[in-house]
Amino acid sequence: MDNSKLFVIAIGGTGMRCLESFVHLCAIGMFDGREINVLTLDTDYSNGNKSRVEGLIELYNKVKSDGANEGGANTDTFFSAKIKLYKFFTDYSNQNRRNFNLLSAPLSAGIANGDEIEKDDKDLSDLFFDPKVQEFNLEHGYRAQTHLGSLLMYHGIVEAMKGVVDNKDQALPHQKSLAEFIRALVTEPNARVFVFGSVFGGTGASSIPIIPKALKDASSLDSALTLDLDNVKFGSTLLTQYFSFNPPDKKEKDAEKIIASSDNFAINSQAALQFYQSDPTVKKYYKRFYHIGWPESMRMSHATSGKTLTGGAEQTNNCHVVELLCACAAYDFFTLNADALNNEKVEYVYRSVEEKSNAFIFTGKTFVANDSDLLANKLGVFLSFAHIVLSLNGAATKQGELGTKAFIKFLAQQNTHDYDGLTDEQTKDIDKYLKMFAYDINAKREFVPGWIYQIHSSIGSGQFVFKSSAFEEDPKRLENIDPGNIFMDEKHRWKHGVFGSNYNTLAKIISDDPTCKPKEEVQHVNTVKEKFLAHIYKGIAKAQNYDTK
Amino acid sequence: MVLLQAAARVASKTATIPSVQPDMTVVLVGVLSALVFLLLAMLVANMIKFEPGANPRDPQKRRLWFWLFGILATVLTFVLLFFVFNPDMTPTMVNSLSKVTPAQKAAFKKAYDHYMLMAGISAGITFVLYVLLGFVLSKIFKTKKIGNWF
Repeated sequence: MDNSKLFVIAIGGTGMRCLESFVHLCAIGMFDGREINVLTLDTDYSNGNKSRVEGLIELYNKVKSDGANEGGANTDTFFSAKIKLYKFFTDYSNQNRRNFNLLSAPLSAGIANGDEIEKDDKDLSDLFFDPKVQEFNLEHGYRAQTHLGSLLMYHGIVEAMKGVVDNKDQALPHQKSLAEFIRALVTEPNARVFVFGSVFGGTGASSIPIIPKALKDASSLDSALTLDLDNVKFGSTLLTQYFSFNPPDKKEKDAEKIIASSDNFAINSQAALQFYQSDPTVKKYYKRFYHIGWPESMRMSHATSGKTLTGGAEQTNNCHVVELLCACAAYDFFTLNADALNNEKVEYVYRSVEEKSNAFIFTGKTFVANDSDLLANKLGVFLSFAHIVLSLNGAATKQGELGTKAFIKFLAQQNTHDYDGLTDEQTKDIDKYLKMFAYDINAKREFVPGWIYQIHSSIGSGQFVFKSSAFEEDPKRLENIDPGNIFMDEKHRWKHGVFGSNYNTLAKIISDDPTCKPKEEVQHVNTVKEKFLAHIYKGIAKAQNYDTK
Repeated sequence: MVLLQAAARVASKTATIPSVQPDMTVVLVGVLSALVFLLLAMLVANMIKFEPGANPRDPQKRRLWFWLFGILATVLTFVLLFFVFNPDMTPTMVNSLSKVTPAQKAAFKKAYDHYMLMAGISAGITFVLYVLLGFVLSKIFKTKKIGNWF
């Protein structure tokens, strides 16, 4: 097993949602035994998508941890990858850092003193940036002004590292976090870095081109660290426009000075692709780009009532299947043979999706060609687990029901007391994660879709790996959903006798099949919670006729 | 039916003294009854599905059926021994026969009383054996459905 650490950088709102899909891939067990260092990078520290994914990773780690033990990388189980989260944002919350003019204020001050060089700088700024671009509030991102964004993101990264190098004690937590990420990257031989972000928006599109160079230049500020870009393999997605939002009205345009409009996303994408095709720096540092797009006729709307959202805590858009495709691109990049990444120039790859009657057919193979059975099976195991906990054991469908705890109780009733030590809080963390993965029913008895339900609905009338009945939304019908009957193909449906049921089949396997018991040496599971999750994983996989190691 | 046939024989006054089942047979009926009902209880325990949720009632159902079958096995043993395997005449019937000597009548009464005692003991053996074997099996297969019995 390859034990090298993996690195993921998520940039901007779209990057955060791609990361969300990536984290769920980790939860279903796609990155067995790997340690993954994740850096979230945004200008908008309060962005709803950013908070959501950071909360998700923190919950992921809570699910893995067991008191003082934070849990490690495991094999053949849920939550098998160990994720380390590093958070960084280019801080524009301070009044004197809110726009480009304020950030470059020392230059202006210099002009007053007659400094000709600084006057040249100001002229240069004026040459490249319209006055409005220099004045808009940067707190909610670069608003599709990628020429300004690239400059400021580079500046933000280098500035943060400089802050840490100059005075570590005075450095802010997000600056230290970035420095730690760079340190981890520098110390990993032959590291692979995958960057999530869009090419049509602001922050992601601005940052993807400059990230390798910014990290290298930032690392060189610390004499003990030097990032050798020849040893680091960068990959990214070229994700073109796939959603739209309310166009800004005149009043909003006047008030915000610069505001992104989804009407321009297509032209932004085109310009970005031309840039990526010709820019020597990008072509030199990136080894592989994954082209990912979505037809305009099927674009999802992130419409909000009233005004156009520029960002902030309210920006919590639903997930889309293209984000899962991006996460799977990262899987492909991380699992490629080392020889496949020795190319001198960047390689562009893409894959098409099967279409039937104007609807897309997504199978496991659409996402991961070489390991299609692996993805469909692991996703199926986790979805079944979610339905058992949330629907049948009532964590979502009934108030005050046991959820995951019901399994512990069941196993105790069957005289297996290995997991009696798990506390209510620990099992509730698992329930909470499953609610984020699948769905929840709120206090008003309204259905709230989680990640996989959002992915499913983004496809519209198309097909997504499982039967459409696996995505039941009616709370009453969910209580009786069959977790063993989610697959299209007969092979992976659970089997039961005349008097049995699929839940009965699973319960019998979990309580009584010795081959499903966790194996510490093979699966590297140490804590009680890790063992419990490994046990459930093996049980469902067996019921699903999925041959694990 | 058996009693009617016996009554007809008594009415003819010529019938001979019926034989009484040996102790071994009486005990065997009890043992077999326990085993058959234990098998039934295992079958039913496996047929009761595991239920999801906070308060699954399937373990109680299995326990309930176990004790129900235990009582049924005991009652059935006694009923079998009393109505099927018993001598087809009671001592009162034998007393009314003219061709039977008093010594034979006294011997029959003694054998009959012993049989009835053994029938009771056999019913007891059924229950004790049923519970004992049920307990042992439940502990051996504690993670299976019959593990819910105890």
